[in-house]
Amino acid sequence: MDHNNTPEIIYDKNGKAYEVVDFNNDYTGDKLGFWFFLFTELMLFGAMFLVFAFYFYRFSADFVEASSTLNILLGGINTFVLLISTYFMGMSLLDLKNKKISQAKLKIYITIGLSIIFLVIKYFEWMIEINHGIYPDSSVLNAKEHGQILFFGLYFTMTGLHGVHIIVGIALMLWVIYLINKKTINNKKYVVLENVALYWDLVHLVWVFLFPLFYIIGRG
Amino acid sequence: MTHDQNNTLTKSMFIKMFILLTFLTILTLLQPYIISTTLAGVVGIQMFISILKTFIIGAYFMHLKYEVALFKYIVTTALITLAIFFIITAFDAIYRNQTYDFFY
Repeated sequence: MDHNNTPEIIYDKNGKAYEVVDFNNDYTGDKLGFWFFLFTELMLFGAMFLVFAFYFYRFSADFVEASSTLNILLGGINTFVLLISTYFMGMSLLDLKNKKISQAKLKIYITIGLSIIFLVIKYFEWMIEINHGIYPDSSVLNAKEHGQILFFGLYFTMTGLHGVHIIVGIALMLWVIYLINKKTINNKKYVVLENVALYWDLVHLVWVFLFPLFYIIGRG
Repeated sequence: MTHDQNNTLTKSMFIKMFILLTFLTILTLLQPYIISTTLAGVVGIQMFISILKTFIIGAYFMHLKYEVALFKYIVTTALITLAIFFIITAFDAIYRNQTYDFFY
């Protein structure tokens, strides 16, 4: 429903005016709810990093050896792909606020394209490991040292969950495009795009820690 | 309701922060090849760079620098909660089956 009518104003005891905001158009509430969701996401990934830290401390040598077998080139390219995608996502929001609707949409499409590139690279990266017989509960992996089994278990779990977040992000961006086309999102009402951009930054943030812990420790 | 805050992120500032993040990402990649150190050193340097990147992403890309205090408290609470878990687990990891085993 569109709310273009005259705003309802209430006054406090000092005479200061406040606009009455209903739950359908509550900017701060919309963002607050999303930040609570991000809180749970931080706890989810935080718990996984906690498990990683614990076993990394106890099986340092195995983790370093397993890390050195990962493809740093593909992981590094993905790091830049994700970084550039967050740039376009952030710029799309700035464009939308400045009424550059088509520019904003173009940048969201570029972000979607980069996300797909990320997933394709990740697919090839996983396939390299799988073709070497390394995947959870495989006979090749089970024959390795206990620490290496843990490392690859965490690698597939954490990068897999991160990949699921990328897929969800692509779906959310397509939904944002649909809402922009419907003019539900515009330069006055952009909280949905703002929240999706926040989500995308969190996905990037998780990778900021995933990349050095999985790929760099074996290169020291 | 529109939300034209007085202190909003400008395009030039956003680009500056992106360039800074790109520089730090290059540093992440090159560190093992330009700074030879122990495993603890590598982890320390890498985590320092990651935390620096986290602050930039949080403050500028996620706009926390320009947000109301409530959102900053939410993030701070999340980080403190995580830090408590990490500290308790660190005691377990370091002192398990040792003289100072807290959980024995």
